[in-house]
Formats: sequence, C-alpha cells, structure tokens
Amino acid sequence: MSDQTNLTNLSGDKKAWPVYITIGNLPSARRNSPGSMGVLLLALLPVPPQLSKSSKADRGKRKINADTLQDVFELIFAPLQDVAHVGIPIDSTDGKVRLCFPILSAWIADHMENVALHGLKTNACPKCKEPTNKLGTNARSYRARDYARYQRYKPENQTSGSETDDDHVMNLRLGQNIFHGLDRVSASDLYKPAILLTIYLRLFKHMMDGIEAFLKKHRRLQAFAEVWKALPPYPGFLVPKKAYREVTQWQGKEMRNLGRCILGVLDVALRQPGGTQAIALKRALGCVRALVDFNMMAQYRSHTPDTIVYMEEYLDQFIG
Amino acid sequence: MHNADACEPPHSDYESDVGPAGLEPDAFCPEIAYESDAEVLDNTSACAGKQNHFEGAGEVIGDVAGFEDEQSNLCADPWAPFNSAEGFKLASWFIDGKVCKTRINDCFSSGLENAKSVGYSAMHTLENHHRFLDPYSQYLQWFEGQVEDGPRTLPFFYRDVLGCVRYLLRQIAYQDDLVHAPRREYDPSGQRIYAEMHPADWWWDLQVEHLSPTLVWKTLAD
Repeated sequence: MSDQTNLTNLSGDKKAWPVYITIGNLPSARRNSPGSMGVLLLALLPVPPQLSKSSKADRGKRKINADTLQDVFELIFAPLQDVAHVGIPIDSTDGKVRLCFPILSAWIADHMENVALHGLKTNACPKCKEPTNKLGTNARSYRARDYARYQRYKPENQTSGSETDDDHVMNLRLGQNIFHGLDRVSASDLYKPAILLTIYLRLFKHMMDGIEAFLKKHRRLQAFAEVWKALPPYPGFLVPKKAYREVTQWQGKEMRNLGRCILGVLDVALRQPGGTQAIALKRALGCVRALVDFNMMAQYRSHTPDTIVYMEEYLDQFIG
Repeated sequence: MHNADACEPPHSDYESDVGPAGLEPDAFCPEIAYESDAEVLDNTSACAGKQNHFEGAGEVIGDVAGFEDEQSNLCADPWAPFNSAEGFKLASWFIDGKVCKTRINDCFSSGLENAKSVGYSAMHTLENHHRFLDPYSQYLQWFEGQVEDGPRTLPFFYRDVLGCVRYLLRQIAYQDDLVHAPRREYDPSGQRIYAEMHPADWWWDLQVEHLSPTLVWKTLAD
C-alpha cells in the first residue's frame, strides 16, 4: 500500500511517499491491529515536483518522472522476480523451513495514486475497460484491462509521438504501468477497493453532493441543518460538534459518523412531503439507504455468496 | 448456528456495526469463523462447516538451524538478555513511554533507579539489549538509491522486499496466527465463506497453476 503525504507544511513543504508491505499469511484481524507490527515500511519514494496540467513543455518532464518511478519500482521488486516461479526457502516461526512464493497480490492506494502507478489518465478505471462516459452506471460487462497488451503496442506509439484512438479509448497516459513485467502478477487485479478510500471518501462524498443539491431543489436544506444540530448522543455515535454547513473537512472519521446518522436525519428532514414531491423524496431515501446498507455489509469480516449478492443488489439500487 | 435468517440484510439496526466487544459484525456464528482458523481439519467438530485443504501446500521442507537451541534458551532464561523481570519491565516502560535517551541516563545518574537491581545503568546497555531482543532486524536494513532528476540527484530509501517477508514470517509473536496453505471453507449449509486471503480463490488458483499436472488432475478429480 502507498500514500503520498505532506510531512511539513510551512517549513519547506516537505513531502513523503511511503510504501508499506505486509503478508497475506497473517489473518486480517492480527495484521490490522495497531501494535501488531504486521505492516512494515518498505520504501520512501522520491516525490516528483508538481507540474502544471496544461503546459506542453511539462510533457517531457512528466515522461521522465514516470520512467523514474518505473525504475525505482523495478529495483524494489527485483528480488520478487527471481523467486516468483522457483520459490525460495524461508524460515517459519514454528522452526520449519517452507518453500515460499512471495507474489504481489494487492495494492491499496487512493484513486490518484492508482492511476499514476498504472499509467492511466485520471478519469479512468484502473480495473476494467469501462469508458469514461459510462462510469457511474452499473455496467458490469466490461472486461478487465489487459495491461500486458498495452505495453506491447506502447513503444510504437511513442515513436510516432501521437496518441492513437485506441489510446484515447483506453485512457492511457504517457509512462508505463509500474507493475508490468512482474511475473505471476495480474496488474488489473492489484487494485483493491478500501472502505475508507472508496466508500467514505468517494461514494459518500458523491452522495452528499447529490443530497445537498436535492435538498436545495426541494427547499429542505434548512430542515436538514436543524435535524443535524439536534442529534442526540448515542453509544457508538459521536454527536457532531459543528453545524452541517460548517464542517470543512470531511475525512474518514466524519464520513463514518455521517453514515451512521444520515438516513435518520434525511428521513426527518424529508417528512411531510407535498403531493408531487412524495415520489422523488421516497426515491432519494431509497438511494441513500442502499448505500448505507452497502457500507454496513462491506464491513463484514466474512462473506458468503449470499452476502455478496445483497451487496450487488444495494449497489444496483444506489446507482439506479 | 447459521440459518437462513442470519443472512437477512440488516434493515434498520445501524448501531449494530460495533458490537458490545467492539468487534465488527459477522455474517456467521463466531464459532464457525474461529473454527476455520484451526490449522488441522477437524471433522468431529459440531459447529464447523466443511473445509477443503489444498494438498501439498505449505509442506515443510526442512528444519530451521538452531531453532531447538533458541527455544530451550528462551525457556531456560525467559528474561535474557536482562538479568531479572524488573530490568525487563523497566526497559519496556522506558520504551513504551517513549522516554528520551538523556532522561533515561539522568534517571540512573541521579540514583532514582538502582542500577544493580535492574542490571544496566545507561542507555547504551539498554540499546544493546533492545537490539538483542530483535534478532531478525538485519532483514530490515535500509538501502539508499539515487534518482537522476535533471540537474539534481534525489535520494530514495528502500528495504529488501524479501527481507521484509522473511522478517514477518519469522516473528515468534505470530506463531499461532500464520497460515501457510490455502483452503476452502464452507458453512454448515454448504456456502463458501470468504473471510481472509487463504479461503479466497486467488491463492488456491495460483497454487494449482504452479503445481505439476498430476497433482492438478488429482485436485480436480476430488
């Protein structure tokens, strides 16, 4: 997993880009508990300087940055390449030696880092070939990206110096997928959604934007703010200290809290609908409920095919 | 026990996401989840669902040299390298409390702590003891790399990725938790359970891909 972060603000605006590593042999409860030391810092990557978005002169620079990143990861992952097929004897904690095949299987990062690492444009899906204008629909028919194929035709395009139509459709960007060339690693499977990054910081944020617009349209914003302010304390629920409009930073903690109360607040804010409003308000509630249910199910520690079907239904309901 | 009701979606019980023990909810009875963590297949268990192990996975190919000695030393002198429980506890207290080096030295020089009873009298010895307690720290060495960035050369730092894996697999603290082979777990109604990485298909499929055709055929026939 990796995340670019600010170390200091003011004194030189230092940035760090740590990469962490852990192993799948440890059960998640053990791995994720703080103090278990199950996650190790693997590398501190060089942070490329910020470039302007439009300047053509920066295009070359951006290419250099991408190549640099590629080289750095090649160096870090080189030991894995040698043992992906033949394995390596590793001492276990029970005093036995086992032949191990350490293979990179997941990469947890936010969307911007995922697209940077996979060499995609910012509005592309790192997992499948869904075109940008179809994102947000619940189409499941798009196939996983074949990153190996991208690499095969990339060099020819770069010599001609122009983007082909295919490039455009695939939302590829200059630079390579840094996971390309790793033996037995499927680059399109590396992307894994995380509750914090995918649900709280993206889906919930998207939902709240929609709710705000919806409340404004139906003139319920005031009612919503009043209910938000009047929330009573409850075990396991932190009463929001600020009025809804005054919260400037919606981070994971705030979003988790919001997920616990949003349905109730919205239900009260949308009470006594007028004749024509009734259907729209009911639909909005249904939509929010589907996402909240999805979030609750996503937190299950174990799943069966049944729970996965429920989650898919909730997602369809939310998108529909 | 697991039944049809247990899989009903949680309709309105939004507060149920944190249980009384602070645990996340589970779709199944806790006994099943815990049972599935057992390393050995146990058909006699009343609550456990069926499990399929991947034959030949996680096989032992040898013994770690010096492991027996290490274990017996640990049993013979559990507080090593400290000479007493008191010395160890004081050191843990210093480290957990993030007490800085100069304050630790001050503590001994001012006579607040009796150096004889704890067995060390300065930060230097304590650091050595601390290093001794983590014998695998050589796996976590840092390396420095250079990146050419136009006129500048940027440094970056990395560890050996295999070293990190070795370090984690060798930690005594994880002895009871580590899983070495994929398996398929089922609840009593025959549904697959996906809870960790080892009961999921990815690991299993990759192992099948690696093994010889005869073993693959045998697995498929099963």
